[in-house]
Amino acid sequence: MTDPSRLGAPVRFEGVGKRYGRSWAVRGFDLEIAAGEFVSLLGASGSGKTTSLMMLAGFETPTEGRIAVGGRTVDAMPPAKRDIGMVFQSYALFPHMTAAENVDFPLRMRGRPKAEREAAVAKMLDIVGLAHLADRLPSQLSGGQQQRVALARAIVFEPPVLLMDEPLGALDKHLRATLQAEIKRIQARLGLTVLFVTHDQEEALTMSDRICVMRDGAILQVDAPETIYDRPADTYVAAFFGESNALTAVPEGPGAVRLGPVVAPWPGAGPAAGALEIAIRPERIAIADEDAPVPPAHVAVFATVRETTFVGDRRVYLAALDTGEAVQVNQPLADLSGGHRPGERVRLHWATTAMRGFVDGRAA
Amino acid sequence: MSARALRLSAGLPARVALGAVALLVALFLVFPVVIVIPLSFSGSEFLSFPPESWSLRWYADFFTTARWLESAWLSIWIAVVAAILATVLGTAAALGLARAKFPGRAVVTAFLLSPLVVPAIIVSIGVYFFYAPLGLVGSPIGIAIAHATLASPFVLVNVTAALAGFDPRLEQAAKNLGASGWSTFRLVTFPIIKPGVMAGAVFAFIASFDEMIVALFITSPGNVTLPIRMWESMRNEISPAIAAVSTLVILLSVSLFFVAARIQARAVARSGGDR
Ligand SMILES: Nc1ncnc2c1ncn2[C@@H]1O[C@H](COP(=O)(O)OP(=O)(O)OP(=O)(O)O)[C@@H](O)[C@H]1O
Ligand SMILES: [Mg+2]
Repeated sequence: MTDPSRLGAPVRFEGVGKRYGRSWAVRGFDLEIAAGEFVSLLGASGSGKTTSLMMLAGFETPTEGRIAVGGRTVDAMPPAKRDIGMVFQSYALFPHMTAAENVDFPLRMRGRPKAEREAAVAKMLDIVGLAHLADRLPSQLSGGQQQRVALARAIVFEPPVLLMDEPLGALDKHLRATLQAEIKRIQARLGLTVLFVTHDQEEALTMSDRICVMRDGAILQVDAPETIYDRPADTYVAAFFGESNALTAVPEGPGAVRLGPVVAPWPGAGPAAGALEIAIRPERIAIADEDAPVPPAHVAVFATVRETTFVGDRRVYLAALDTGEAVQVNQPLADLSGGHRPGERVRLHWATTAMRGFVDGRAA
Repeated sequence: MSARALRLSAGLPARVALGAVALLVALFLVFPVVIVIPLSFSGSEFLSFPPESWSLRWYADFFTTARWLESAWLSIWIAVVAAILATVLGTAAALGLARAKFPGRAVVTAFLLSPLVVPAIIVSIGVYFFYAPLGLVGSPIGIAIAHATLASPFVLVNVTAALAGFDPRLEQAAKNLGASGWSTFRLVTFPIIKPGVMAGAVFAFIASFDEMIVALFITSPGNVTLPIRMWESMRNEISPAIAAVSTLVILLSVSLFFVAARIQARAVARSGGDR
């Protein structure tokens, strides 16, 4: 388990597509994953995440394109020969085997000596915190415990590539955080290449080297978490990660756009004509008294507070601009004093660099 | 479901009436079987009900008469061989039909189940003419093979039912973890569908053990199965011996059913009863 020479293998999808009947579950899927990289697939239900994993594991045959692992095309390789660990969305634990027997299965199939197997299984069950439940059958375990057995079973044989289909879905917040850290630690120590499916944007942001956002079987954006969050490729990605305000702007000569009554400098080229959609994260907007000074290089607009909600570490305001557009502002709370009341006139301002522009949904 | 609803909603008189009807139906079904049991303990030479005196002489008669014992052993041997053949073939057919998606699957299924509906006499004639040139007429293995074809639908039906509750992702998981096709079957698929296979095997054994018509066509004087021996014995003399043999046959069948039920109950308990 500590052999440092065994590192993850690179994975490459080239123009991969999968068609069921007349509809494409996945189409034009191009993705290169470096050895030892942790990539998350994120997307709404039915966006093709599981299908992509199943093609890599060998249970679905791509309708088009090719898949390579470690530089070798695997399209003709049976699943048992691919040496790819997988945590199935439904766990797929063997119901007639105990937790320990389930975890032992891949080692047994590889003909490892018994003593070595026993040690590896015990160690793995310990890592996932199930050592005391080794002799339970899956039906005698809770959903979260079953999920951990599935995880242990997929990792115990140290596969160069590990696929996980929402492996932490059934866990409570605390256990989830523990296992997220554990998965990251094992992955880093063994240098495994991981393809991780999740519905949870926060999980994707914290765990991944890169995130691949999917929609309707196609890839929208593949980038590092910071980039995905800060420079989303389109409004769908922007809305998927965190909260975002959308304001309509029109070009106002070169290098400027008009947002209601104010003109803001616009660094990008902007559209030749027509509207530009501006997205601003609620936490990048500052809320201040009507007559407060505006910092340099900030855009400022007047607004009326409609609602205010206290959420512990921040205060969330819903305000209406004079154009009628609604804006959400998240105000981090350094101290609990102050705050603006509903009906109050305020000034909202934000750095010009906080604005992201989209034309027809795509980043401008 | 509707019986349950009735039980929950109906008053006491309705429930008593339902119980009475159920009891009558049950009695009607088991009465012909149960009546032979007291007859077998008769002390007299003739079949009469109720018996005038009681004894175990007809059991002693069975266990000391060579013809009875030879026939019993022959039937058991044939039933075991037939059950093994039927279980292998029926299980393979069920797996193939459950996995493969090909046009005409329904037709193939109906064809494989046809021994259940084709009259035995027609099968018998066919088997006889098929066996004659092969020299299988009159041989125990010939009877066993013929019985296997008749019994395989029982296995097919039971294993198909077991496979319906089997999650095919378990096989994917096994292969993903490095198991070959055979290991996957031996270590994952088979242990999970085993209760269905075992139940099918028990039904196949009983189907062969009870079968007379086909056996009658291809039997030879040296190879008389137990049902044929019973039939002949009844035609010659009606003695309580036949009741004793019948009781023993019932005992064997019922115990086999209990064995099958036990296997199934244990499997359910082991998988937690939730599948
Ligand atoms: N065997 C199949 N036959 C037909 N269509 C399928 C099949 N498997 C998947 N699909 C379709 O392909 C699309 C992608 O499915 P997939 O399971 O990859 O989604 P997913 O992103 O994993 O969703 P979820 O988050 O709900 O698990 C869906 O529209 C689904 O209905
Ligand atoms: Mg899925």
